[in-house]
Amino acid sequence: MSCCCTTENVFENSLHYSSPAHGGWGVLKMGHLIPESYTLFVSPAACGRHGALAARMENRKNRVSYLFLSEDDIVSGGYEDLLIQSVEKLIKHLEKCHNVPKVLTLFVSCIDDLLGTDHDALIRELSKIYPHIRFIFCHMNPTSTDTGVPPAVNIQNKNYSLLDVAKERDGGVNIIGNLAPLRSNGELFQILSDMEVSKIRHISDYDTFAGYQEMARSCLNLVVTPTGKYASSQMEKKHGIPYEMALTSFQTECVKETYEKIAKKLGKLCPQVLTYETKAVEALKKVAETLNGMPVIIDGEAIVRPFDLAKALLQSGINVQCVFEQKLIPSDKENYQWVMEHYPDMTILQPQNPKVTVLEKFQGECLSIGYSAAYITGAKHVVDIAGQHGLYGYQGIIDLAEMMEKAAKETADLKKLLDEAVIVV
Amino acid sequence: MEQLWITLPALAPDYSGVCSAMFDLGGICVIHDASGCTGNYTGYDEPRWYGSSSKIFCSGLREIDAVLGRDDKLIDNVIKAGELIDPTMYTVIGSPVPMVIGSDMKGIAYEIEEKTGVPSFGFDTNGLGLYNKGVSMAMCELIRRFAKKKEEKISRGINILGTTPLDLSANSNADDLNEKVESFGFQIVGRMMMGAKIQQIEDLAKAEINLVVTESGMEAAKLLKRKFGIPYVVGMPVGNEMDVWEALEQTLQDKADRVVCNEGEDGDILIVGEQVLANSIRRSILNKNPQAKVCVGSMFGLNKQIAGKGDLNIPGEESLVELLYSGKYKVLVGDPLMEDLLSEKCNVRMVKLPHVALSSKLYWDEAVHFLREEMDQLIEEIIK
Repeated sequence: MSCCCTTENVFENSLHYSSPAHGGWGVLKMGHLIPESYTLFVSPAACGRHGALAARMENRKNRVSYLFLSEDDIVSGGYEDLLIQSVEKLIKHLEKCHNVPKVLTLFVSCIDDLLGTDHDALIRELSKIYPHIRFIFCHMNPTSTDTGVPPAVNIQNKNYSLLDVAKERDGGVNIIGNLAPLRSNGELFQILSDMEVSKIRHISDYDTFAGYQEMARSCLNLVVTPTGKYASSQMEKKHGIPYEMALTSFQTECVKETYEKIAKKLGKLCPQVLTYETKAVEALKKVAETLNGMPVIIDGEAIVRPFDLAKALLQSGINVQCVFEQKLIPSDKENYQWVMEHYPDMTILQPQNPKVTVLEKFQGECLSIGYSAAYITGAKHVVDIAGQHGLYGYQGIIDLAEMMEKAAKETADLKKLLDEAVIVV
Repeated sequence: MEQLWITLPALAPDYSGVCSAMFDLGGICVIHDASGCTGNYTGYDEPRWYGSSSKIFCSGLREIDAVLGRDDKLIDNVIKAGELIDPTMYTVIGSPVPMVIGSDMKGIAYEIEEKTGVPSFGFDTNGLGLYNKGVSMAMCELIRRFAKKKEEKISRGINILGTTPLDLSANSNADDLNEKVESFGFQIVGRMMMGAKIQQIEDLAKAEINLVVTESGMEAAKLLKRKFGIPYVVGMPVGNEMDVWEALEQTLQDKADRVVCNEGEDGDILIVGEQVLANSIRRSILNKNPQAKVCVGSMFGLNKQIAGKGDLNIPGEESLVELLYSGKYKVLVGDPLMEDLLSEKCNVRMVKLPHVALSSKLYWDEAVHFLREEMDQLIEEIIK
């Protein structure tokens, strides 16, 4: 690889390259976390295509239909009547299929932000006609990516905004921010139990809308990825549920600090974590030995805070040579600064920068943690991971180390991995 | 209510058609959008994307740029990418947001060309139109810009118009077609657009005849007729049939345009798909069974110039459902996703013909090889 960027121009503004490995859940799938919900996507036809196809690939197409706006609808700026008629027709269809939802999410796309549709009025009208169904507008508007509430943040807030204020609070804790549930083998569950937490709740635990309402009873929200912070702050306002930032980290000392913070917030003593910590340190040591200097590339699309992981691996003697990250997020800034201070030759690349399309492929053995970096560099070994894969705590470190060891011993079929991953931009 | 699609996904949009047409030309294409439109194309409408070196990018349009009309930012970023890549041309392509804010894509292209001296194109696509219109727009613009009048003609020189993986997939259909054309003694001048090069477009006028293999190629054929007097034949050769080849020989002789299309008779068999291919399948069915009732339907805007009498424009999912439950049809030939619309109640047998412009990567690895034996088997399956 021949490109090496200076820190000044690392995170530059440019056209965006969309590699075959670029993408993730997409907001539609995130919205489908609301149990017993159905989506009517209201947009120009094109906006709905990738979400619909991905839904079909994952057997979720029976949870989404589309209202395609015409040029007339857009020019006139008013599709309210059309929407109400479409909802009527859709609900009749769903009644026939015995699939009437508890929630109808009305997704709109980028152009809706420019049309000024009165969403509140529409919700009021629809709620009057269908009092047994909850309606909510959601946004697939990547034009808002640079705003305070980008799509991935907004949809998390929407997902929890349907929680009604509970009459009683219990000793449960909500895990907020992660899309896939945390891996059940993590020590977090035991540690929280030791802190007398009665129930650990994640939105994906619930099959019913009534069951999901249980989340409003929790006494604390643990925010494990940054995109969950805004939703948690809104929940604090509405429900009075406090939150604690408990971001996934691959640095053992940070994991310990997080558990101590949680204990303090709950007013409990932090259980002993030394045994867990020792195992995590050993796992990192073992993978360093296995890799034996093999270059490692970290992909910011696979790991939410790639510089946190880079720091952890570098401190364990692993040869991290390159980090792919499109835009540095605030919660990873300190780690980035540490990496650049201690490893000033570290290559930082933006996976969507056109520069990567003219990069030479990596020569020799190399391990990529994530798909995009693997595609761009041609890495032979690939850790099959997207969206952090539920990794958390010391066990998350151990699991990742094991995944790295396994990947280092195999030549990956990246195309097959991508076909199976079903990613959406 | 044609705008409500309960079951089927949206069809491939116009901007994907433009990108698909430009794919092989060595230029930089930029979809002026935030990310999702480009993701539609690269992730779901371009079977050739994995491993390709085509330079198709997203402008990364943001709310503030839209509100302030920051075309300058787009132009600067396009030029910056060009310095890295040295493209043969630039293409800027519209999407829904530029439509709403009234971006002048042709004006932006003009400015890029002024600044770089590199040929540049702008397309006012908006995600409301369909891929075939995008392919067609791109082909016509390229012809207007690059095709030159030629005194010399190549004997049995032929242009193939309308090849796109959105219809042909990225299996060997395009190569099979080229081989078959050459096996009948033709010399291919222009491959529009799978395998296209700018030099080929410059030389299009050297051809004696044009073969239009999809509806996307129709406008280009008419344009080449107007500009250079080249006659055309519309027809996708399928299986072992000879009709298209015979039509080409006749047109070489009499210079008359021909559409190889039989009259349809509504009932029994409904073929819903790319119009020229659907016509060819009907032809093959009728060659085997002249009594068969076969109707062609298009969800991409029925082009009446190449339609049989009684062929159907199917503007949306609801119309298709009505047809399928009308009791008229016993067999549906169409994309596998259409099977989701069927039930025992309509008693229609499905014969699957994957179409990338509908089902994308769900079935593009199973696309039929039109010129191989499997097409003959598909015809047998339809008429059994």
